[in-house]
Amino acid sequence: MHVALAILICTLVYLDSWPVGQFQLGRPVLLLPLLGWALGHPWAGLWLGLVLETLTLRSLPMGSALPPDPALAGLWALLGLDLGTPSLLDRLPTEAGVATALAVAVPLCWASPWLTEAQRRINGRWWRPRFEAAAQAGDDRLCGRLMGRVLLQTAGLAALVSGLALVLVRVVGPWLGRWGRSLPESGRLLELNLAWLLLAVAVGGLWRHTAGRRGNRALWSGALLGLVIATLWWLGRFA
Amino acid sequence: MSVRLPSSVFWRSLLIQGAWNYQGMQHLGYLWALLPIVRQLPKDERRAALLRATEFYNAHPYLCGYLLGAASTLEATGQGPALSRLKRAGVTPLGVTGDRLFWAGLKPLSGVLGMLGFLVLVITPPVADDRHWLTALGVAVAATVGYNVIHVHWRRKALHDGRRLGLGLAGALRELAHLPLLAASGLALGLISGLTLPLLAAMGAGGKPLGVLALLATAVLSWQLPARSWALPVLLAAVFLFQSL
Repeated sequence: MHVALAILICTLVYLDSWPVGQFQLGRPVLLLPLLGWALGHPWAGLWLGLVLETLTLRSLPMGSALPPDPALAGLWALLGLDLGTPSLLDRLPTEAGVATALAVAVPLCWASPWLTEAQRRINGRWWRPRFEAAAQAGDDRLCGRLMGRVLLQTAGLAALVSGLALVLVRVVGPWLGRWGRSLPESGRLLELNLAWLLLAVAVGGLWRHTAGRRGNRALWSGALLGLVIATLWWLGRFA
Repeated sequence: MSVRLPSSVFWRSLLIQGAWNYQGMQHLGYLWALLPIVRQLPKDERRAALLRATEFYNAHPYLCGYLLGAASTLEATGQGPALSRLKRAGVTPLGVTGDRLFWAGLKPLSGVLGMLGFLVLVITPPVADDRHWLTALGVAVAATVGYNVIHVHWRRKALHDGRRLGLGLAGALRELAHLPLLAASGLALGLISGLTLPLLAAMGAGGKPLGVLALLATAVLSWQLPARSWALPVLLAAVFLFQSL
């Protein structure tokens, strides 16, 4: 993948995440498997999408809260590891590639809100006085033009930070790739791999998000239904 | 003066968070979305309308249309000064309803549906089959499209209801807290979230009893984590460390 295209995708996804529209087009469970498939790394994209989406379902962007940005973190990880020919993901076995991508994306997920924090502060300190001065002067034309400038500046900052994040992933990627390669295909203990364990953490979080709400009884009904399906699956496979 | 609601207000309302800041929150996006309405006013009334629009505003972004629609009616009928009071009364119910309906209900629900599609793909042999992949992707696409159909419907409905109700919006907002969709989304989210844990535990470990127990234990540990900001990162670090041993 070309670095300019990678930065453009990150910027568009970031703009959709809160300043423009919020259509959730960059949600990890949709975008990352699709992008992974297009780039030839379907499993890295799929596991990134599954784990990041589920892990952050309970992080709600209410009021001035700054929840983790799983879409941007997943994109930085997937696109950063895919840069170059052959890319790091091309050189790693599938399991090691998935583990490496997850090791890059999960910490980035909690670092990504700093971009939004910086943009909110720029809006408050730089753009707000200009809007208010235009309103004070009754200049509706200037008010109209200012929003375009805010969006350009927001896109510029997102592109700059995405470029830096991709460089960072490119630098730490080989190091984490060596770690990913050192992991056995299924964990030494209990034969579980990293992706399944992270998904278990994420599903636990989802239960916490749901259990305290109106869906409590529905949660247990769903669990019972899941148990029946799992038992049928197990009987079909082993009986 | 006639009450006209230009369609550009709808498109502009998509940028309600475009210049979000800690001082006035969504007020600059609100001001920008309101400009087509302000431009219909006589020149001597525009400055006052612009200044009113720069007052604090923060509600759910998808439901901002209620106040934008009401503003079009009030500004055009010379009741602009009442708008500040309506805004203050409206932001909390709009914020709470929108957060419950979209952020805590429909958004996680569509995410879990997409996740279930891929979970089934992962455990269904042959896993490398493109048709399986496309089916799972189709589930994720359908979940996102479904979410957006509801979201855009609410954006349009809010704008037109707000315009129709004008000052009567304050009373109508109370009804929003009793939307049947709120209860339905909560129930659906509960049911589908409940499905995920047994499926994950049974199938993720390939039916091996110790693996099933380990996945269940990890999920229950995460479920019961204390509500501290450090708890989840510590658990995630522990998982990475455990795998590296």
